[in-house]
Amino acid sequence: MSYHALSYLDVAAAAALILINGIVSIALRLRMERSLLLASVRTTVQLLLVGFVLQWVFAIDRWYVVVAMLLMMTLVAGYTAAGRNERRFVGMWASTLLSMGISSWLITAYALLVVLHGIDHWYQPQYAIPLMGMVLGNTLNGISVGLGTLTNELALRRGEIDTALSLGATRYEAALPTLRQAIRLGMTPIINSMMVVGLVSLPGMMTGQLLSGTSPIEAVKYQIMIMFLVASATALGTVGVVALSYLHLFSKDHQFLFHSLQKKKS
Amino acid sequence: MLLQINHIHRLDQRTGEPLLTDISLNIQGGERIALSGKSGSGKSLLMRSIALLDPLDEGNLTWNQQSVSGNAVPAYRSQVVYLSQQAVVTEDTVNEALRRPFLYRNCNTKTLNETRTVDQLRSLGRTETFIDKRASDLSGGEKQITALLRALAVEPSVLLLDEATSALDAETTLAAEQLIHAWQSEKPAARSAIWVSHDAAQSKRIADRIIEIEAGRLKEGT
Repeated sequence: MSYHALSYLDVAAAAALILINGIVSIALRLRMERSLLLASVRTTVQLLLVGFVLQWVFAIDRWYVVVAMLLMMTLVAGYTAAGRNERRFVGMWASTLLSMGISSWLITAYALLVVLHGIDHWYQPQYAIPLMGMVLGNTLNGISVGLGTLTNELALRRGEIDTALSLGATRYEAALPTLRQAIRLGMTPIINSMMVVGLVSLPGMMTGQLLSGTSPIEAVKYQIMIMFLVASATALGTVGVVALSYLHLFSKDHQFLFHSLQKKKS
Repeated sequence: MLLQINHIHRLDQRTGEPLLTDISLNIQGGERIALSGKSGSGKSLLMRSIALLDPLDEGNLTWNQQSVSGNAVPAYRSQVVYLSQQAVVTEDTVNEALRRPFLYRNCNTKTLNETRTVDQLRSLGRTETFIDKRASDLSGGEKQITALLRALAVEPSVLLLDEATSALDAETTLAAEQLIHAWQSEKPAARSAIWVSHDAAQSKRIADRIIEIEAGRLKEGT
């Protein structure tokens, strides 16, 4: 199958469609023209920049450049997951970055070294970067939901937790219902998408491969691999962030450190 | 039994202000103590500190000459049970709530003594059908009854009652006081109770030792 490359003029033809949004906004006085303009410029500029960077990384093809790129992506993902959280505690950033890093690097390493064994070299940017990107993007959601649920529920259930501790529960016994809930909710979105993948929508990566001329069965095999990578990384990341946060929020003397759980200053 | 509170200090985490300053106390078996003081004087904080529910900034506790920290804390807490004013019952029924402590590793060799609990329930003017009540139907006072029975069920040595009868009517309050008195009388050398109460008359009824706290310090001579 052949692959049809787009010229910049072709891209501009697609970009012109933004006029529809502009007309809607003007006709209904939604006052969204400014954000529409900004969004259009950002989409174009951000993606072009990433394109140039990737082009360069692909051309250089050195392990340290790829690793540096993956590290950057991990930091941004960790920062985003923790930054979104409504509550703060000492150790939150470290817990989030650590669980994000360990889960995504482990799973991506497994993918590159075991699942994709036989590729030219393990750091081949063509594989390493998109795989890590997809793993991080989904793990970020799991970690963010897990962390948010944990901190909000702990704050809400202070009375229940102190009651359990007062009656001789260990910190683990007192926290367990909340830990379970946080992990369950963190893992739910990926399980839901595994349930409907292909039925409701074709995943982005598979669509991309189809567009680039890969046969549907080959594209599907890749997609199946991705779903399992993402599911396992999400599980690891969610359990990781919940466990590490628990260790920061409950002392060795089996106390719930409610006061270190502060609302984010808005 | 002997509970020693040695020079404990607590600071406000945000402002650094002292909340409890250099508090030392010895509590022996059979004592009936009332802790009195104005709102915000640190009564609840002291009670929570005795149960080690919050970290102490300084000082320590010894229980029968053993210092209490780390993994000894849960076992200590099932001996020195703190009951807050806000009784929390999250289980579906009173029965489940009463059995909850026996699911914890610390207590799982024991089981709920149901006949005893029903007797205690009767002494508080309730019938045994109370045990099957749904937790969501309980009033504030009924939650306090549930919490009190649950605390007694784990057979502690010290009860820390932080206005734990505040939502009860006058008659049930008296019955609860008598229930705890009777519970202490069963093993006078091994059971103590510390009450926080705003009610001077209640303090007189329940205690033979009154400790006053003011702005986080114990008053001289108490």
